[in-house]
Amino acid sequence: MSPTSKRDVGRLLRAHYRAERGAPDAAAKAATLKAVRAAATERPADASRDAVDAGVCGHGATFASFVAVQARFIHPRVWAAQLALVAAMAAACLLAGDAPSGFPLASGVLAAATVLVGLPDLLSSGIHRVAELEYACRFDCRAVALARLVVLGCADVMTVTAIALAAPVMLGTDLFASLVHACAPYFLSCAGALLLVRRCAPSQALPLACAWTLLVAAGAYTLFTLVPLAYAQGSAWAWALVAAGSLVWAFREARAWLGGIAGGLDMLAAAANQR
Amino acid sequence: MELTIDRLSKQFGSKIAVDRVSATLEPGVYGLLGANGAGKTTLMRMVCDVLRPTSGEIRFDGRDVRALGDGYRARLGYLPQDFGYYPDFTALDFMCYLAALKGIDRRAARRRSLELLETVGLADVAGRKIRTFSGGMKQRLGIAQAVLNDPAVLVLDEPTAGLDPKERVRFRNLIASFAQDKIVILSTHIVSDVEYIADEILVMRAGAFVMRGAPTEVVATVAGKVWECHVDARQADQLAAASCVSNVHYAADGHAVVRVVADERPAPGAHPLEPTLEDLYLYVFRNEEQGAVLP
Repeated sequence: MSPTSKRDVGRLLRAHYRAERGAPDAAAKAATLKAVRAAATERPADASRDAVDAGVCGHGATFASFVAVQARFIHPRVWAAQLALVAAMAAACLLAGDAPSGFPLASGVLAAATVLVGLPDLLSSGIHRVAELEYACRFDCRAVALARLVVLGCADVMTVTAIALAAPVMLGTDLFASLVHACAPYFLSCAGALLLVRRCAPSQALPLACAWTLLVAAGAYTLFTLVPLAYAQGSAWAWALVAAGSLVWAFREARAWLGGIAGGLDMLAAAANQR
Repeated sequence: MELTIDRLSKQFGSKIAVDRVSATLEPGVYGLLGANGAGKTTLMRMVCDVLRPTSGEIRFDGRDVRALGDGYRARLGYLPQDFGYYPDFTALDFMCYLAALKGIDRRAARRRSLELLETVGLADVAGRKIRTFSGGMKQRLGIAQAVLNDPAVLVLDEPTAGLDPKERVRFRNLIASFAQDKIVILSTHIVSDVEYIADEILVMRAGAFVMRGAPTEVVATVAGKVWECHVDARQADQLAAASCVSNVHYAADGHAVVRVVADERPAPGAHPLEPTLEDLYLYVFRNEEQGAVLP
């Protein structure tokens, strides 16, 4: 092909792509804005396609609605695992008969294990390298992490409560003691796992969090075996103090973790690369 | 609508990846050209609020994007160079998930996702898991998610990687039709992807813009520096070793027609040719690719 005709081809191609764009259509834009206003003020059962299409702009969604939507994307295995933990506690109560002494330990271990159930989903943005895409969205990576914390946290609260209530409801044990015996290991597990998540790469955080939870469970078992008085009625307030302290620690770790994510993709990667 | 990049810098430890870059972008298509390590991806990540700048500012319609926050990101579309996905997601799940992150209403998200999957030729596999997709299919899915929210600013990092020529033409038509009154920034090594659709070319080297202008303007800077030489095979090899050669064609009689980018006439009898954007790229980055021959 001669240089002259190549130039002509180039000109024709540029003209073609420019023509593809057309001119901005002010009338269409005005119609879309009108539809957005209509959709924002009222939502009839048979909302017009234009009004629904106006939802593409994405300005109407609140963080609360975003959190609700995130629940859809949590893997069903999380809910199944939490149900299984509650069922295990219920089964233990059913089979125990007249020997309820081991239930504080059982509820503590199962409550601690609850943390591990949701941890893979909490860390999935980093594990599966979706964080870069999420950072550039309206609800960014930090919002996603916070939404998952809220959803999984609420689910954990219900699970731990159900585990803690099993013995009092089915066997008549002390409610307050049962709650604190479950909450203390749960919050300890939670805080340690979040610390590890903040300090380690996502792929390392999961096995290390498992190890930490095992450590918490082992600690509870050791206490139960060697110092049975630690689980006696009178020690419930001590457990409550441990639970409260662990809750504060967990809250601080969660805040630090979210703060690290807010620093951007390089801060997220740097935190993961720290030893 | 205006996107202003004001003395933007990004430093990783002692390495300066982006060095006080400034530009004002208005609606149009901007092709960002540069060799590996030039700072294109880092710049695009800062534009998309994925990375925080070390210094400098990005303003959208006069307001700092950090202050705008989610209001700015709601008007962004971004396709990273290498993006991940949740392995259990189907193509439709992925689109609906990102639609939720972009704040799109659930019903609108589903319909828009299906429309875009149709546009990029993935409608038939909308229900298939992404992990079964080829590289080209994943890239098309990435392009579809980038335009989900009809963004005012669309940033595409190597968008045609893994696409066959037919898909690349489809992509260029998609961008051309999308680009009315929007700011589109796309980075690529494949200069033909931007040569005809870009309103402006930004050439980046060592973290800074070294050249900027309409394609015809920037190409004009290498006018008189592109040569065609008719030599024998041995001379062709010598030229390839000593000069920046963009193409070698061997004739049946063993002679070679060599296209060379050089300041001076590279061989007796060489005659000048009309430069292309590819020649400009080779000329600007010749020190990184001295003697390289394009496949």
